[in-house]
Amino acid sequence: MTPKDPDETHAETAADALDTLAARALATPPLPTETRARLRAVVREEARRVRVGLAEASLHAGFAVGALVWAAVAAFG
Amino acid sequence: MDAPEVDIRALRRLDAEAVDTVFDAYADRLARFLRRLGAGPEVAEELVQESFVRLIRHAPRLTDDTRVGAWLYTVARNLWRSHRRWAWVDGTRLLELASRPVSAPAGPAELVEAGRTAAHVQAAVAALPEAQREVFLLVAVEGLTPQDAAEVLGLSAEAARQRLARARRAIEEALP
Repeated sequence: MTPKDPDETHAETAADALDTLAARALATPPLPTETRARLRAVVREEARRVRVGLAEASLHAGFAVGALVWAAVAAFG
Repeated sequence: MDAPEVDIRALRRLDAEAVDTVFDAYADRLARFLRRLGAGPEVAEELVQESFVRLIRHAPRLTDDTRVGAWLYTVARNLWRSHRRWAWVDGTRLLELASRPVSAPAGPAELVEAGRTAAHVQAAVAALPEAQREVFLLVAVEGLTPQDAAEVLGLSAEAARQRLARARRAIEEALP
């Protein structure tokens, strides 16, 4: 591995220091508890809704495949 | 950023625990990012919610190599840009931040100095052109790699690195 140029290393250290300073200076309090709970409930409900939709879709797909197999058996069996 | 472990397969199945893990890991980060882009608290909350709802709807199509954090920041940023197009008034908050006088809190000398520095940094970041502010916030504050930030912003990695370098230089120059 090629050793790093000292200037480059210095620049990286300075950038890291600036980033740390900025991260501290720009820190904000977390979302209020009630807001967080409300958002979480919305997200959970959406996940539940999509899960149900997926389950229904796969059920319908299962019926369709079943019907196809049944028709094939009826036609050729 | 301490990127949390996200089980993509579980998320694809919308496993309740995986959904909660992602929410816990990113809700505050997205809100902070949006606030620093200029969104007010209510708008930030609304856009955080919408970002997660979109993730949930998209979840069954996530691929194994999806970086959920970068995905969420991309959506949140796009939602913010779209929101701002018709609610330009929120943008005035940035001007307000940038022009706010730098005042120091009362207390021991170190605290006064730290407060003063923080205020200078806040003003310097707020005064950056948006393109530079976005990449700086993503890398320096949110802890994304420059590559992930480039992905979020739809830039080449080199363009993101250049913007980041310009942002850091501008902030350094603005500090006393």
